[in-house]
Amino acid sequence: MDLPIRVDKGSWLHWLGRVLLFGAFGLFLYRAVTEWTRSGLGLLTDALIIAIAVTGLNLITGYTGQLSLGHAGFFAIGAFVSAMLVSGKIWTPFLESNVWTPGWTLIAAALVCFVVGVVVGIPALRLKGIYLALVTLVFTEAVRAFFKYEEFAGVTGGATGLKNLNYLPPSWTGLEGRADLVTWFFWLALVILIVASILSAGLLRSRIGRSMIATRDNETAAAVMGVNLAKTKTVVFGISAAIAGVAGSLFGLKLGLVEADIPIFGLFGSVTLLVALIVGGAAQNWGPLIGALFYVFVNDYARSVGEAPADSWLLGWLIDGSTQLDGLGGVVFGVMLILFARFVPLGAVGTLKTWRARLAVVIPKISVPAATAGEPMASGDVSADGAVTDGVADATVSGAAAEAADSDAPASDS
Amino acid sequence: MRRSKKLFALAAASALVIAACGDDDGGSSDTTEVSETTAAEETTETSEADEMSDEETTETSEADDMSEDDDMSEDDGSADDEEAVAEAASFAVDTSVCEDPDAATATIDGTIKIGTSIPLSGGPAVLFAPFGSGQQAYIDYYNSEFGGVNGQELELIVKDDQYTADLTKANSDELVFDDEVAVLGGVIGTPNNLAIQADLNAQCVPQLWASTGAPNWGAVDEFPWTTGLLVAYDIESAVWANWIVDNLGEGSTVGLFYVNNEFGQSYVNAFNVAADELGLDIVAEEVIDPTDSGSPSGQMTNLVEANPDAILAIPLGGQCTAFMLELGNAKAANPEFDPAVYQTATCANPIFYGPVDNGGADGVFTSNNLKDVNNPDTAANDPGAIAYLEAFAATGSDADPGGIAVAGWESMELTVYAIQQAADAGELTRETIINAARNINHVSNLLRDGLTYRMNGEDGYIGEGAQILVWSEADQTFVEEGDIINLEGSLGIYSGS
Repeated sequence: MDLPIRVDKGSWLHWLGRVLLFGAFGLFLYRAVTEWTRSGLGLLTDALIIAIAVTGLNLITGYTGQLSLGHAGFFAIGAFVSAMLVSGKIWTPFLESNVWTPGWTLIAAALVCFVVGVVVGIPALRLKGIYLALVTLVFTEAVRAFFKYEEFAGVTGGATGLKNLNYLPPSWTGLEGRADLVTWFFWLALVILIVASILSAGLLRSRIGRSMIATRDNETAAAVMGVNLAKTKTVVFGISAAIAGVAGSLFGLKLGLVEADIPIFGLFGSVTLLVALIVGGAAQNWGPLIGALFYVFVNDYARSVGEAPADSWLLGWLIDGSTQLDGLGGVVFGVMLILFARFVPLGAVGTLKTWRARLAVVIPKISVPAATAGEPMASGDVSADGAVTDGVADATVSGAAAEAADSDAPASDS
Repeated sequence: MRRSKKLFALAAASALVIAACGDDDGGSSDTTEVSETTAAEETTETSEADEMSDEETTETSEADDMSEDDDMSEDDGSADDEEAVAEAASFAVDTSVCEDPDAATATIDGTIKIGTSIPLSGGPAVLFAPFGSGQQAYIDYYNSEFGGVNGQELELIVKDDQYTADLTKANSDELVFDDEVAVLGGVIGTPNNLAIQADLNAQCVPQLWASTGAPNWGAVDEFPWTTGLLVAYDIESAVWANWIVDNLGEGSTVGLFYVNNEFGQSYVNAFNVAADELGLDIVAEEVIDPTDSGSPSGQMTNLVEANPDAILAIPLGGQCTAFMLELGNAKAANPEFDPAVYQTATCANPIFYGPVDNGGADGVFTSNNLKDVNNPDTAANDPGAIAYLEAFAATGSDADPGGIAVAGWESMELTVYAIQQAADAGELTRETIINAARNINHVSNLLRDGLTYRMNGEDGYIGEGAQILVWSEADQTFVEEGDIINLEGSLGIYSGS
């Protein structure tokens, strides 16, 4: 059999692959819920929450090409908005209802973050790359300063934040009290991640999604082709911020307290989200989840190495039982990230797709008759998966190009 | 030492100020009553502690400590009354509200696992990691010296939380559900302990000796499974406010320099109450971020401009040294700027003061309830300090016994003490451990003479007394200022949230 196998998109073989992929993920989740301890499920929930935020970041950075270090700020806003609602610091309907409060606080966090995201997106109209990153980083720090500002302490808690956020599972879930809190947040995070992923995928298939990818690949060409850059950037910033805000909301409620000094609400958080995005694979549907799982569980392992190096398989052969090396966990995690960047430069999903391409290539449905494999596409044609090509005259629908279009990854990454 | 000789009067005054604090459950009259009793008891307690200190030089944390205390109190003329009060106030936790009541009352067999979560990596690790070395050293010492608790070996499991509350929570879950520890002991950080407090109380896992002095740890009714370790920040703030009034007069001006987080706010809130009560005028408030590691030159410029009579400085970790260096520079540049400065007990260690060589540390006040084992006199002559240093050395630990390791050692001594008391009482369970901790009455080798670790159902705070100290740059050591201040029992229990 000649490799790679050519699989038509939407064929039974393609669907079989998808079913196997989702089945494996479902089995993984099933085992986590039924067999893992509460601590393991808690870590998995943390990963899902980070995956939600990275899904938002993926829209603006991965698919639209706008480097944002402001998503920790949106994450913090979402956390504080929910905390203020749950603790009754600001007026909220359904405060006493454990049926409606959960949904309401998450929606409120999303709405507030959407509005703030649109406003923050305005500088993105004129700034690019590192300059935009700098502005969004300042935004993150400004958010922290705002929530610590004593004048607003009556609402935000000021430097001491808001505590004792009791957000217990609603009765209709069949879950009870604090004992089931982790399970409740696990399911909540999983459902929201699925919704955010579907929303993200739907957005990418829409007109605005095509505009996003065109904007990322070549802003000038996109503008020439009629893409409204201002609208695209600001709306995507808003949607991206709203998703990150919901993640922050879940984070704060799960933790039970919000404080502006919690590292994930600052630069550390922005870098964390960016690392998870890059590790998982920017502009990849599964990238946020894989990146978040890597970040949370590898970081946890690295810390466990630092806690007891002699007990770890990584360093146990090198270090005797009594040795304690301060800061070792951070070093181990840093080395792992460096090795990852060196050997998996396309991110986990991108690299897996490259490997998969050696075995099988998914051939997308081409709706433009002129664009057949091996033949040049006309400028502005719709390529695989609906993305607008950047008008490069020699673009072809070869196997590799089809792969790139399938993932919506930047051309340089394919 | 140059300004105050009235610390006994200060103790009583401080108690009155504390009585005005809204955090206490009891009304002001109740609290005053407690403090009066405390003042009356002080002499007795001091002599008891001396006696115990001698006895315990060779018998650190022996299982009999509690009964020894009881025996000694019988010698006192008011022993019957005290016992009656103690009995009435004795604490017993209700396990029926636990997530799993059976687990809370199940006998702990085999190795007794103790969990802790502290920063081992990240920025604060440089400062706090030796705390874990001190904890491990005590466990090693107790296992080798006493063979564990009644033959059951002790095991300490240390988790790294990078000083972030979300990781502390993840660690707590791992310790409880994966490692199945009997207790958590000596977790560092106010937000970190707050993040796990509700869960551990619901799970009925003792959260012993949270290594902070926030008032929250005295919430006996709401969070009975949580106990604090450090001297309550309220006490320190009130003591300094009283010192200012006594030595600089009413209406004195005060500048505040504090780290802008839960830790700093706890001090400032308590100081504001005391300042209000005593008529002090706060003329400057300068803040620093917890993660800020630069010199606070801007803040010092503002303090110089305000030129207060006194300063209350509440920095964190390395900021203690940075503040004093900047203070020295400011004094050198502005001869008229010479405020009395108090820096919190969390900075009371030569590792912070030693590096300051520009006069900024000289004469700075602080306080501590533990003995200063770095002081050559104490290390050579104090039986408790000698016992500690010998025991620490015997463990083979390469940590500095005079650094933060002291606090780590103390947190584990108290943890093991509670476990030993519970085991000796008949049955070792989580329930009996927390009851032993909540009813503790103990004097450790490292606790300053005249102080006692004491709690019960009406007293939620273990540390309510300290010695004011002044740093001498010439001698590179702390010098005691006046007598020990003992406000034991004055804070009552915490009812705020």
